[in-house]
Amino acid sequence: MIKKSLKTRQICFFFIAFMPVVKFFMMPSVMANSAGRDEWLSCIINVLLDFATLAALVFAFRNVKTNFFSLSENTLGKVGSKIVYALYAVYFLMKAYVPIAEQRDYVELTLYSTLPNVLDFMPFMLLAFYFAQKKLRVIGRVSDVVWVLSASAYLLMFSLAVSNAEFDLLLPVGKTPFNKIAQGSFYALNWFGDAAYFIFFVGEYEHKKGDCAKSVISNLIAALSVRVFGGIFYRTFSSIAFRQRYALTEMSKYSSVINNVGRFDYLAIFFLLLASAFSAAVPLYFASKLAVKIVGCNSPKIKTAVSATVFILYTAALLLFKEYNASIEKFMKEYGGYAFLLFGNVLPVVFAFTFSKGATKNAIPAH
Amino acid sequence: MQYLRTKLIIAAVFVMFLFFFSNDFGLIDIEKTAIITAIAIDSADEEYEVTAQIAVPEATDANTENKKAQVSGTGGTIGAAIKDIGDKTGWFPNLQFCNLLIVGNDLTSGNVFKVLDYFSKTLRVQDSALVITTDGAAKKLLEVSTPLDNISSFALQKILLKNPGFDSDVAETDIKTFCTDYYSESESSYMPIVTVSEQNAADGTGKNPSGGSGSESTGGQSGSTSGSSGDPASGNATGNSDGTGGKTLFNARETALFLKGVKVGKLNAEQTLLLNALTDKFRGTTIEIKGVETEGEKANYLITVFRCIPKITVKANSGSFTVKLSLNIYCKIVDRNTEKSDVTYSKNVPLPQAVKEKTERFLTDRIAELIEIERETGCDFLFLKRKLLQYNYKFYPQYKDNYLNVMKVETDVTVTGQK
Amino acid sequence: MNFSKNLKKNVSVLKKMLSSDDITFIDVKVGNEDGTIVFVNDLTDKESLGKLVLQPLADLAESVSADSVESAVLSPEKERIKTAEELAKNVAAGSAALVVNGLSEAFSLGFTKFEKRAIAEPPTSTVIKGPREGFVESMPVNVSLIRRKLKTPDLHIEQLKIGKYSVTPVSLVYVDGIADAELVRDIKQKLNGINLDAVLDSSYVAKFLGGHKTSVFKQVGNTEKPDILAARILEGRVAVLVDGSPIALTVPYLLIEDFQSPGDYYNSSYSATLARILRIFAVCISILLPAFFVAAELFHLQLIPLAFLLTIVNSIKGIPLSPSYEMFFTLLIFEILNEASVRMPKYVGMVVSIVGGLVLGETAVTAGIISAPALMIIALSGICLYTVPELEQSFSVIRLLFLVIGGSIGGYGLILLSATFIVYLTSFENFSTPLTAPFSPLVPNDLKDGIYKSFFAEQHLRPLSLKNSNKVRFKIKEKD
Repeated sequence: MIKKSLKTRQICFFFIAFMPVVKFFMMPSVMANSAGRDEWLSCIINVLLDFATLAALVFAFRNVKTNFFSLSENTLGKVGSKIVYALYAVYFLMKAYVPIAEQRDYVELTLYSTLPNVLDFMPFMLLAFYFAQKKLRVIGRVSDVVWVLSASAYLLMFSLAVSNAEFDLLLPVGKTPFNKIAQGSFYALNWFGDAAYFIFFVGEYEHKKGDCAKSVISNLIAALSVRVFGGIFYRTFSSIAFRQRYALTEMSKYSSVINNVGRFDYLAIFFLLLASAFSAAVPLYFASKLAVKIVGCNSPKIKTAVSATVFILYTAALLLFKEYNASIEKFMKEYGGYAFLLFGNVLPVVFAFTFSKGATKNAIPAH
Repeated sequence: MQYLRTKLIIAAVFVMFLFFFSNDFGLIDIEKTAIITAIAIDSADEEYEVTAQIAVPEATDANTENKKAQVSGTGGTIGAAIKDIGDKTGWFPNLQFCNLLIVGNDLTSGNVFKVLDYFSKTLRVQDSALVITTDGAAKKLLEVSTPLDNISSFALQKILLKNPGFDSDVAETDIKTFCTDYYSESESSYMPIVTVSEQNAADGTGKNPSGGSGSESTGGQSGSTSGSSGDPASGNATGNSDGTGGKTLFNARETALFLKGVKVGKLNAEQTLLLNALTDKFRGTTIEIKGVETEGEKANYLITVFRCIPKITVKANSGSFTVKLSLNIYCKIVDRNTEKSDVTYSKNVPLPQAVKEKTERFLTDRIAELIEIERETGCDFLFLKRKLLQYNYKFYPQYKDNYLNVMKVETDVTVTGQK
Repeated sequence: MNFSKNLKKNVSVLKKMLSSDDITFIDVKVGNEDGTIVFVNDLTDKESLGKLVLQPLADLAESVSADSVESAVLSPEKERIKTAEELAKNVAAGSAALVVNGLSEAFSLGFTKFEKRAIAEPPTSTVIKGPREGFVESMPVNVSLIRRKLKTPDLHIEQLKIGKYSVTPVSLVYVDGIADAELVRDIKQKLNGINLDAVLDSSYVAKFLGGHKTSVFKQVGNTEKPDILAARILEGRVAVLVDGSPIALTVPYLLIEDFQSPGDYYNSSYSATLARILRIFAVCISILLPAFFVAAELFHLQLIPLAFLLTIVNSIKGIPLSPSYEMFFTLLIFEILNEASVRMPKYVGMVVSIVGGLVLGETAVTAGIISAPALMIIALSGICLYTVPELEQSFSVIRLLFLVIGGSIGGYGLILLSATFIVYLTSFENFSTPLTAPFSPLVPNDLKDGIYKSFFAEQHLRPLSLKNSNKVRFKIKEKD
C-alpha cells in the first residue's frame, strides 16, 4: 500500500522534471543579450541564489512536521496568513505569465502555420485547471512519470546539439562588464525562484535522514542541465545567440543529423513541451490552492468554484492582454525581478526561519 | 457534481467533434501547401525577386521540368517577396523543407546579410539551410535540368553536402554559420560559388571560364599540383541539359569571400581545399601530385588524406603578433601513373620522399596564398581576429584594427605517409 | 413461513412456492412416517438421491425424529431448514428437499448436478509454454482448480449470494496472512452493497468494485487462468469468483498487470522483458500513430521526412476526403469489421475478415477513396492494440479521442491530452492502490516485475504497491 504523502524522491523528481524545462525557451537569449559570452556567469549567479535559498529552506524546515498553512496560521494568525496567501497567489499568477506566454508563442510560431488564438492555449488552461483540482500528492506522482520523459528529452537534445558547439567561444572568460552580467541575472529572475515551491512541500513528506542532501542535489542536477543546455546553446550560436528567441528549437533543428534523417528532434520537443505544460501549470496550481485557502471553505463545490474563478479570470486576462505581450514581457524582465527576488528567494527564507522556530515537532500532521 | 461532470465531458466531446468535422479553423493541410525546397534571391530594380522551387505540388512528378516547378515573387523585403508567391499561387509557402538559399551575383556587391537576415530570424526556415552564390542570376541555377535528380536543388545539395568518403572541396556554409561569422569580431564570412556550364559531350571539356580547377583566382597557381577535380564527386556534377546534346555541369569548388556582408574576393579550387584543411574538414580528401621524379622516372600520384590535424594559433605581445598555421597530414598513395612504364604501384607502399616534399610544398604555398588573400581583401576567413580576442584578450585593443598588416605568419606543414 | 408438523400443509405451501413444471414432488416412506422429496428435475443427481437418501430412509426402523433422519441421510451436504421460503430458494438453486410428516424442520440436501463445459485453454490468454487449463462456468470446478494450485489451509474462500432473482454464488478467494484484512472487509462491503436482479457474469460485479463509475479504464483485474489467479492472490490480492462466469476478478488492479502476459512467467526474463517493452511500444503506436499522422498532415508537415511526404502527397492526390476525415472513416471501417468479425459465426467471420480486410481495403485504395498510408496506419494501429487484448476496449476509445484531438488541435493538443491522461491516471486509486504503481508513485521493489521481469529468486518481497499483511515472500539466505 502506498502512503498518501509526498516522498523525498518525488520532490527531487519535481525539481528535475519541471524546473529546467521552462528555462529552455527564451531565457538563454535573454541572458545572452545582456551578458554576451559570459551569459553562463549570469546563469550561475541565479542558480547559486536558488541553491542557497533551497538549502536554507531544507535546513530550517528539517524537523518540522506541520505544513506551511498551519505554520503560517500559528505564527501570523488567520488574517496575517491570508495576506501572505494573497500576496503569494498574486506572485504565482505573475510567475506563470512568462512561461505560459512563451509557450503559447513557441507553439504558435514553431508548431503551427496558422491557428485561431483561442484554440492554442485554451486547452492548456483546461489542463492547468484540471491539474489544480488534484491533491498535492498528484504533483509528486506526475513528477515520478514526467522526469523520465524530461531526462530522455534532455539527453536527446544534448546529443543532437553538442557536436555543433564550439567550446572556445566561451573565451575570453569574465571580460563582460559586471553590470551586464548582473543585468543578465536580474532579467532572468523570471525563470528562477523555484525554491519557493519547497515551502508548500513542508510537512507533506516523510522526512528521513539524508533528505536535505537529496533535495539540494536534485536542484543542482536541474541547475546543471540548465547550465549545460545554455552553454551548448551559446557555443552553437555565439554572436547571434541573442537573436534566437527559442533556444529549444534552434538547437535541435540545426543538428546535421536532422538534415539527413528528418525532424525526429520533435520527439524530444514534444516530451519537453509536455513537461513544460506541467511546469507552467505548477504556479497556477499553487495560486489556485492559495485562493481556496483565502476563501477558507471545505466544501468541494466551493473549492472548485473558487479555483474555476481564478482560472477564468486569468484566462480572460491572458486573452485581453495578448496584444500587449511584448510590453508585459519587457516589464517583467526589467522590473519583475524585484518581486521574483522577494517572493522567490527572500521571503521563503524569512518564513523558514520564523515559522520553524514556532513549530513543534509533533504538531498537527499535514493533510 | 458527478452529473455535472458527465455533462461537461459530453459537451467537451461534442465540441471536439464539431472542430474535427467542421475542419474549418484556418488549418492549411498538405494539399494547400507549397513545399519549397530551395529559394533563389535576385535583385529586381529596387526590390528583391525571390524564386522558389516547389517540390509539392509540382515537382513530385518526375516529368515536370524544373522551370515549371518554380514560382517568383517580388517585394521590398524578402518576407514580402515570399508572401507575394503565396498571393500569386494561392498556396501557402512552407519553408520548413527549404535547405538551399541561392544569392544572385548582383546582390553580393551589397550587404548579403540583409538578404539572409529574414531567414536567420524566422523560425520557419531551418538555420542549417545551405547558402550559396553564383556568377549570374540565382534563379538560373534552379532552372537547370540534371539527371542527378528531377529537382535541381536536390542535385545541388548532393554537390554541397557530401558524405564521408568524398573530397572536401566545397567550403559549404549555412544560414547560422554565415550569420555568426558576420556578427563575429572578424565580421567575415564565405560561401561557395556554384556555376553552371555546358560541357561538350564529345570532348568532355567545360566551357565556363570560372568553373573547374585551375581557374582564375586571386592567389597563385601551382600548375603541377592540384586538388582532385572533374569528377562528379568532387564539386562538379554533370547531367544532360535540355536539347543541347551536351551536359550541364555544376561547379561549387570556388568560394566567395565576404567582409561585413559584402563580397570582397574569392578563393579558387585549391585554396578552397586548403581552407577546408585548416578548418578541419579534410578527411578522405584526395590530392593529385603531378610530375614527381621517383625511381628515375616522372610519375603522377594520387594520395588520399586519412587524417588531418590543423592548428591555428595566435600569439600576441606588446611588440608582435604572430600567427602559426600548422597542418599535419597523414596520407597514403591511392594511384600512380608514369609516362613510360606500365608498372603502376604496389599497394601499401611507403610514401616516396619526393612526393612528400612536393605535397608539403604545395600545401605551404596554398597557405601562403590564403594569408595573402586575407591581407588583400581584409576578409578574415581564418578568424584570426576572433582568436586574438579569445586567447590574447589583453592585446586585442592594440591589434584589432591592424592585425592583418602587422602579423607574422609561421607555417608548419608536415606530410606523413604510410609507413 | 415456518414449517408445521403437518406434511400435507407443508407440501401444499411448497407447491405454491415452487409451481414450475420442472419441479418434482415425490412421496416417500421415512421409516413409518410419510415424507416428500422435492427437487428440480434437471438440476439434481437422481441416482445419488436414490442411493444415498431414499434407500436409507426406507430402511429407517426406529421412531422418526429430526436427528434420526439427518443421521440416516448419507448426503455430504445437508442442512436443517425451518422456513418454507428458505427451502424453496435452496430447491431453486439445485438442492433436493426432504419434508417429513411430524417434523417441524425440513432438510436441504446437496445433490446438485448439471452439465458443464470441460476445462479448456481460455481463448483470451493462450500460452506457448505453461499451464493451459482455464476456468469454466462452474464455481465448484473453479474453486477446485485453485485448490489444486494452493494446497494450504490458509486459502480462504468466503461465499456470498448476490442477485435478487439469480441468487448467484459469489466467492471471495484470498490467502489468509497475505491478503490485508481491511481490503477483504472493504470488498465484502462493496459486494454486499450490490443490489441487482441478477448477476449473470463477473463483469456485473466488476462495475461495483471499481470506484470510478465513469472511467474509461479498467479498475478490476481479471483472469481466466487458475495459475495467474493463484500468483495474484499470493501477492496479496483478493479474487472474486462468480458462479456462471469463467472470468475471475482480482483486486486491487494495477495497469501494468495487463502488459504482463501469463507466458512471461514461464519464459526467460530477457524474452519476457523484451515482450513487455514491445507491448508498451505497440500500445503507444496504436493510440498515437493515427492521431499524430493526421496532426502532421494538417498542421506539422515538418514532422514527416521530405521523401515520405512526397510519397504521401502522391498517394492522396484525388482523394475526396480531408486527412482527418479519411483517417476517421478508415478507423470507423476497421472498428465495424472488428465488431462484425467477433459477432459473426466463426466460418462467416473468416470470410468477412478476408472480404473486409483485403478486398475492401485494396479496392478503397484503388478507387481513390482512401490512401494507402492511412490504411496502413490504421491496420498497424489495430494490430498493435491486440498485443494487450485486455485493454483493447479502453484503448480503442482513447485512440478515437486522440484522433479527434489530433485532427482538431494538432500536436500540441495531443501533448496536452497526454498530460491530462497522466494526471488522471496518476491520481486514480482503487482500494487505496494507485493504478499506475509501481511507476507512479515509484515503488522500486515492484519494478522487478514491472516492465523489467527479474528472476524469481530476486523477488523476495511481495509487491509493495499492494495492500498485504505479509511483505516477505522468502528470506534471502546469507552467504557463508
